[in-house]
Amino acid sequence: MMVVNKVGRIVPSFVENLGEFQPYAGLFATPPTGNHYAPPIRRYPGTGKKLLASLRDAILASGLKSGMTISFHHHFRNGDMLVNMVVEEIAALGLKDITLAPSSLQSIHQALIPHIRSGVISAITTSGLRGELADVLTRESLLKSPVVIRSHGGRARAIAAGELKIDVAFLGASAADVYGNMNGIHGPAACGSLGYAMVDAQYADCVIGVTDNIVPYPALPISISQTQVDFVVQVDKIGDPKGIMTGATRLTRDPLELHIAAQAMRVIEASGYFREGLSFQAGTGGASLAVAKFLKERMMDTGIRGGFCTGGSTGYICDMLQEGYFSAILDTQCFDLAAVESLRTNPRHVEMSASFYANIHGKACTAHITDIMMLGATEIDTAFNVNVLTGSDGIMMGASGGHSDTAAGTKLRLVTAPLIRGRFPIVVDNVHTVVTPGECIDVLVTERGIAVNSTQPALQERLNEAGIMTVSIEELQWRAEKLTGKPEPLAQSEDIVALVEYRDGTLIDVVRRVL
Amino acid sequence: MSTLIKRCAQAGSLESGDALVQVAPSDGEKLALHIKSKVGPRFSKSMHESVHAVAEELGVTAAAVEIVDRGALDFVLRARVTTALRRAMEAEIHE
Repeated sequence: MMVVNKVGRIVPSFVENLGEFQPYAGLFATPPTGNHYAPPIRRYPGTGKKLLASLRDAILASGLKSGMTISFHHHFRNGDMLVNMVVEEIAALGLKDITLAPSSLQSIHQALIPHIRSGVISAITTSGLRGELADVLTRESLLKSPVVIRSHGGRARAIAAGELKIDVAFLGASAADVYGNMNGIHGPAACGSLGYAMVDAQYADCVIGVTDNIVPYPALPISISQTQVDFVVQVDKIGDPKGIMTGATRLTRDPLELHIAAQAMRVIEASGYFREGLSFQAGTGGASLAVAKFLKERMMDTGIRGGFCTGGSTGYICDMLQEGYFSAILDTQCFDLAAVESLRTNPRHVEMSASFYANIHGKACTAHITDIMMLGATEIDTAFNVNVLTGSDGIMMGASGGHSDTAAGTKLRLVTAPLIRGRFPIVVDNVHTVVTPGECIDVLVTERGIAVNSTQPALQERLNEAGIMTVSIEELQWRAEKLTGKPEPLAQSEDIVALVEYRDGTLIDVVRRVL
Repeated sequence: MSTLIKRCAQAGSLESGDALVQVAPSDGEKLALHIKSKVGPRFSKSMHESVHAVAEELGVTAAAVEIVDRGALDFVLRARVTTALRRAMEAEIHE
């Protein structure tokens, strides 16, 4: 049966092989039920010997069977070699009908397509999909159930709640000891924080640590502890450093993005949240990252100093920590080697789990206590609903990430985007896919104008007082469409290829097969 | 065969936001138009209309027009098509 949810999207209340779903009902409207999941107690040999000779031995030792669920983290990003390696081995062992539950997937994972076609992988849940794999999964119904898209916090919640039960977690680490203590900050495949993997380590029935760098006991610092790891495997190479991250993320030099960032900083300053002790999450996109540069300038001018930074980290933010502009970084994910170096050397830069970051049913997540959040958008509609998952062709190309998590709880939720991107207007009547509901977006900053959500009269007032010109979001849409024209509707089938879960587990939207 | 289009010509570029328009004489009676574009699924109708409108303004009824579009806005596309057609209508190349 299909039902209409609070953002007006038609979503199923039951999906074959996945079970029942509730429709999205509002930011904090759906109360949690049940208990946290706990993995079974196993017996360990007295010697604690966990090092196995090969991935194949580890898969066999884990008891993985057809029909089970395996998980991975995406800290190696597009340099990840582990997912493809493990699925290859699983296919060679003749297992079928596996649910793949990584924290996210990248274009490198197009190597999975043959294993999806052959039925080795029959279900997928992830934060995002990119490249050829995303293309195939949006154009064809290859899986036995739609892909389930979860936010970073939503995934942590689903795992903790036992909704996403992980049978075997394969957790890559750039350094590990033979008893399973692991981190991501030493070794050739250093990736920094292992924040997403921490949740899998805590709740998976069996945890296999995989590394290309066995170090003497104990592997310090301990990001994932020996108390959670069942087996350790050493492989030749776990990731390609070139694909994992760049040396240092450079700030954009694109004048358009810098202009948007400068406008965003004016909004931040007028909002009232630019104050002593401010907490901040920089985005990763061009303009939202550049806001940090203007923030630093204004901090320098005014003497205002920040509290914590949260989410992912880049070298730029780490420099701000080092220089005293912020007092701490709580980090789920390092975006460049400069950030890894900071995590390694600065005691005020610490890792946090995806649950600590964004789990709506955690006992306090940073997403609920941050002042200022910079968000991106591939599309935003006149009700301020945001799409960061599907492109203008309706094909999945992005990720839910922490977008809806941080938007729900942060005090100032600011979306920056160019008003036109490759002939497409960014402001539309209805976004193709709702990832984040408009009720938690405060303001949109583009190069051709700023629009405040009409649900935020206090913010509107403050911008007026500061002399910042704003327009309605409909006016922005008109300005964009005057240049681009109105796009023709997409040709899509009724078939659902992906379910978009809101962070509380309700359904906020679906993705339909593109014809 | 149209006498208006005298030779092959092109205008534009493959830069993002631009379009490369190539025009050639055609044996047919119509505008043989082929557009390759990433935004095709959402703007195909508008792009075809604009190219035909420009051709009509210039009196061109027959030509082979190949366009590789990189997300050009409508006025950019029209300008590139106009220039390509005008160049193809000239007897010789004026340097």
